[in-house]
Amino acid sequence: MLSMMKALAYYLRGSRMMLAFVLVFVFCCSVEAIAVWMHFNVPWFAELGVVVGVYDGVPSLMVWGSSFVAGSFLAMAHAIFMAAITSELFKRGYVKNLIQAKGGRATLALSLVAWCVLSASVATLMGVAVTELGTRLAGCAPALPSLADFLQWFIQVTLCVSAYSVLTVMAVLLTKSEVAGMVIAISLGAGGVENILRLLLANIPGLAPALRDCLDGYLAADLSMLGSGAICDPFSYVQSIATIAVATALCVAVAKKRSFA
Amino acid sequence: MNAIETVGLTKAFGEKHAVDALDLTVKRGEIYGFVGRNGAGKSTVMKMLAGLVLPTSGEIALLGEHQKPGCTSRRMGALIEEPGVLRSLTGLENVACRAMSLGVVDAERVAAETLQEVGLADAAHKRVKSYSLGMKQRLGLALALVGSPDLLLLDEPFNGLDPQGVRSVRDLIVSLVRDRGVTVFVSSHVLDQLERMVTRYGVVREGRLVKELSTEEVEQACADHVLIRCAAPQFALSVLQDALPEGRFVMLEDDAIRAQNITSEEAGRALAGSGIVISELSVSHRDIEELFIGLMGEEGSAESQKANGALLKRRRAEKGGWSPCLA
Repeated sequence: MLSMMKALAYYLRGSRMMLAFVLVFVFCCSVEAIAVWMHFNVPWFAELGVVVGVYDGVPSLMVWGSSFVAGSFLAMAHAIFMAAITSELFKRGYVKNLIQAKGGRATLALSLVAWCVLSASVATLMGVAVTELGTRLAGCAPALPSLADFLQWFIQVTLCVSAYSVLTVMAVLLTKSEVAGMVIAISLGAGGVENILRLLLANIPGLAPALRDCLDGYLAADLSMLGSGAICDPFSYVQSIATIAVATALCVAVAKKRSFA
Repeated sequence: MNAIETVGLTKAFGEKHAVDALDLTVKRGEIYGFVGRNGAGKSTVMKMLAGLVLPTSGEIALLGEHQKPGCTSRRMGALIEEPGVLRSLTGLENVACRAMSLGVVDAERVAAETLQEVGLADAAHKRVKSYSLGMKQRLGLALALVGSPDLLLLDEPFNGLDPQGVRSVRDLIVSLVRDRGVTVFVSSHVLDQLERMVTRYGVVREGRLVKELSTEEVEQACADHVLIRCAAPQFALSVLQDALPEGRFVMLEDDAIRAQNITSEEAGRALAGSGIVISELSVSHRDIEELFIGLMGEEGSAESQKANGALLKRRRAEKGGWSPCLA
């Protein structure tokens, strides 16, 4: 599996999609810092009231969260990225060249899942670094969190974002379609699917409360909390890891059964 | 150990059987030419061997190892239909990426050497989207060759290549077999190219292997021959066999006599000497294309069904009930 991950890393390194994702992501993370700078240095912009609650000592978790986690930005962007790179392997038929690796299709699926988690963590760290640096350069000195808080926040964001991305990769393996992958990435990442399912469950008469409410406080709710700079309760780990585990099993099952020709 | 063994390999799409109980054996070190009309099932067979498509039923063993459905051997390289390449990467990156997935050490160096082998060294650092069709085909071949496979599956490897390219690919295939003992399973419609390198042919029709021929059998079938039509063909046959013992004579379905190793003059003299009236005496040469079109094109004839049944019976008898995949 390590060989496959190396191969996928090599593919990403040379891929223009990777460059595009990084550029767009860094720019979007910088928007908040740019707005903060303008708030302090451009009077008419400050009067617009676009930037609120920015002051020395504001919690960094809040700044980071509002910069790239809130509004499902990171979740959607990352899911779209994984949909694009996975579907590219099928669109060009390059997947034919990868299934002779040791472990074949299962290894390919597991490597894509591993890359979901790895790239989500790198994206989160990159967002933190860009936002923190930009905000400080803009003239604001947020209060850094403790290491424990930072780790909890970072891991929870990574797991939630990864869960959506692994589900997206599973959808692309199932459909082999870039368009389907993009639609599912956006629907999942923005929380749309969860909202629809919650609505459906709420309107099924006689459904047990445990089932009816099972999606309350699910990934979208967790991301919303993390986007406001708060840390979710420990159950967030359980549901995101469980989602990743189930989605991984589905990825492997789909990869083993699908025609790759 | 055979390079490829299939037992009852079948692929059904609904009620249509694209591949129907195919029993195939390819020995190590052969160049096996797999021929058939469009839609006969050649590519489907190759895709199943390459693990790209799951068989409906049947078993596959590659290089002595039983393959689970959807799996394939690491010691195999394949170029099936269009080469699967990433256009945004360079040729070198495409090959190196596959090499890495196979666990090849120093993947970029090995990729560069492989591209050199297929004549793409100069274009190695160019992005694939700038490649011509022939260059992409060579790149596909490089992807199949990287990692030094022991078995190559090539589906239409000459697509898009100019005559020089065709010759260099053909020479490469022959040298791989000769120098490295690679087994090659190749399908192509360019029969005269196959003729120059293949050691055995398999003809597939409607998903079934209907005939296998060695190169000697093909040469014999395509050799110059004399065609004789006359009154009393059975008597004429015995006259010819007595008068010209060095000749080879076959009575065809339409009572014509096909003779080899004799001249038309010798045949005419022998028949005239016995008072047999000749209605046709001609010399003809059947080329390989004609031979295979005849084999590929017969629609469910009794002869082809009998041949298929006999072939299956012979294979099962040779194997004595042993399945290669259960060993």
